[in-house]
Amino acid sequence: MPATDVPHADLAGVRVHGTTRAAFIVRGALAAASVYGLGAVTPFVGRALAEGDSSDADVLKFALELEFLEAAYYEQAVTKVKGLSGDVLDLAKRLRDDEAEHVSALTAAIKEAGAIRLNPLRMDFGDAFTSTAAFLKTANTFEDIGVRAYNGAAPQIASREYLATAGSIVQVEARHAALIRVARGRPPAPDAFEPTSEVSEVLLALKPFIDT
Amino acid sequence: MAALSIHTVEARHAAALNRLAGNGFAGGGALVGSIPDGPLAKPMTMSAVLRQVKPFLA
Repeated sequence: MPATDVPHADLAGVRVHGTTRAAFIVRGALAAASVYGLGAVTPFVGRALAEGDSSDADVLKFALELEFLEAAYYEQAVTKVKGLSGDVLDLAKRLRDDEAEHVSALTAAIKEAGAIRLNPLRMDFGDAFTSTAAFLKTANTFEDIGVRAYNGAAPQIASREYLATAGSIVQVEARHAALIRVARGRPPAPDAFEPTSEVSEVLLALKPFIDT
Repeated sequence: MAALSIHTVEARHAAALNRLAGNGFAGGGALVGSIPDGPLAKPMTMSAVLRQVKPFLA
């Protein structure tokens, strides 16, 4: 039996109460696990699905995992990227500050929703800090996947208040994505309608950066 | 879903146009700057939107 068919302890221990939660995060995680193995997805999913939390809290926590990743990325980048200077350094600092604010806003919302707060996962950004070009390439990945993840997850949010929080964050993420793309000499808005990403796609895109 | 997928593309346009116009991240008014509201975007009421676009209506 392939390893991916073995129910992972983290997932097996999750009791799913509502169909919305099952449809949204669990299904996405299982789709990702079937391709890349459960080790790739359990750090996210085991944490996102704490028993007793509301479905909104699950979505907010999933968003927070993304923001942790981005915040850590820029925090490290401003000191580690070789040769980072001028406009790109200014942009990295600005994005670092914005992502930290997003972490705060989501943490506050999660607390309000009655869920436990999360600490950042261990991350590994590989060779993304070896040059300005490498830094921008990975930043492009994070910002684009972030926008798509928010747009994919937002319809799962029931509370108008939390939906407004997500909406005000995703708009800024889209602006980040555009600015990073302009800095790379790439089209800032490659699609007339933003594609959305399912949970499984987001997990797969982020897998290389999560140190499991 | 449709509104969401348009919303973020509009934000990309706004950021890129401000960047290309030489504007900084913010400053010079609510609509000026590539990230004009800071980390959390602020909504605009329908009446405020109408005031902004009125000069362009025939």
